[in-house]
Amino acid sequence: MRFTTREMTMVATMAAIMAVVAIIFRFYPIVFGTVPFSLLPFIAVLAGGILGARLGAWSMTVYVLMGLVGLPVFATEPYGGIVYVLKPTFGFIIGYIAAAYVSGMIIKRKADAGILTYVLAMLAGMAAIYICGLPYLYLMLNLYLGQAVAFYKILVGMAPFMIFDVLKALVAAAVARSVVKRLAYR
Amino acid sequence: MLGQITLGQFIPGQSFIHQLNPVSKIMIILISGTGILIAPGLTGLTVSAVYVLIIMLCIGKLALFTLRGLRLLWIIMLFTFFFHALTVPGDPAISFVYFDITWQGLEKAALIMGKLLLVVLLISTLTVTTSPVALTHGLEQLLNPFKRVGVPAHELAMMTSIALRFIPTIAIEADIIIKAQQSRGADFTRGNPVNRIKALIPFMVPLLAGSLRRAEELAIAMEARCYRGGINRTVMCPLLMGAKDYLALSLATFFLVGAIVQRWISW
Repeated sequence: MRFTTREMTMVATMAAIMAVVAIIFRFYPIVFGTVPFSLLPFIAVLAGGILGARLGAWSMTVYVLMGLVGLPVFATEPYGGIVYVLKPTFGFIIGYIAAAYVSGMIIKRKADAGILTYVLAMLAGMAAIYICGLPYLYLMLNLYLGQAVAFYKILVGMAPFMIFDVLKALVAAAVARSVVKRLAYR
Repeated sequence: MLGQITLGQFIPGQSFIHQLNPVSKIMIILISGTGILIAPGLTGLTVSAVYVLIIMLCIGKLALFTLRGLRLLWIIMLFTFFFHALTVPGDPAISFVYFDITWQGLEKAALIMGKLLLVVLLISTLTVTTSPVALTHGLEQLLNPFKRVGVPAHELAMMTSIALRFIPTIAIEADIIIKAQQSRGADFTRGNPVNRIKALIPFMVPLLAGSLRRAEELAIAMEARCYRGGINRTVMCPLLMGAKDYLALSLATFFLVGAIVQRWISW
């Protein structure tokens, strides 16, 4: 797989933005501290929407890689390191890669995508995060506890987060559309 | 804030582990981690504990920093411990009114928690003794053989380095945008969740557009200097395998072979 220089810098920038957003929430409690949700899924679907499926997915891969080599770019304690793989919620981080890919795929299908296509793409991206994250959570919980935890119980526990994610998808669609218009990519 | 980001969990030092090649360090972690997980019973756990202890002694005082890795998992580990201690049936060690803590349960809980603890300490040693840049280069070398099946090893390492360089720049830019929008009356802190998510639009759009424009400029600058990816590119500090690396690798392999023998070939 080959990248042009421009593609490489775009991917790197998107990964850096993801890291900055994760970090800002830790260091600017005055501005964003009261926000009751994580913005990372929001950036993940945006990456797909703005850069397209292939580059978006790679940018999230670079972000995950940065976190795994020990940079404190993840949102929760201890912010980085390979140990993160053992955390039950690591599946959601893998899900960011899938989310960027899925939302990029849907927008790319139509050349002049309207706001509805964007909303659909962002919602599908959010769904992709859960499709990766929930089985991982399920597997890890079963690994730690050594016996089955009912899958629907995990689903019920996740329901409040899902409502916020639908909201985030709607705003992400608006942001992605106006950024794409401004930069006139692709 | 910025210094903390670029350094991450890495602590510079001169210990034996610090001097190892990052490639061999990653391989040692993989080999030893497998060894710890398959070593059976309390004997296996004790041997693994001694092995990890020797590694920790090599890095001296910095071993305290590996304990930071535990912050992530201690709730899960405690929960796991009590779950196993309380649910495995057997001879009661301590009896309460409704439930017993059994000897078998305690043993199983200690095994699972001990293995988890050792793996976490081992992995944390890697990130404490290796700088992110060195680790990225190590990963690039490890992925090099997979280039034929389409893994972009060099590009991945290059993109990680660029992202690393851009994090402080974009953080400063984000700071400027937040202040600029606040001075125009934007409010990120009040209102219901719906309004707060909506308030992100005037922050995210300039941040994304500005940063991606900067990326475009960087690409032009790189191409003007004839950058063309990983083709025939040489490195300034090649990662060489020394005697120490072979010694450490053979020790790790010895440990893994011991674990395999103990598990599947009873003696």
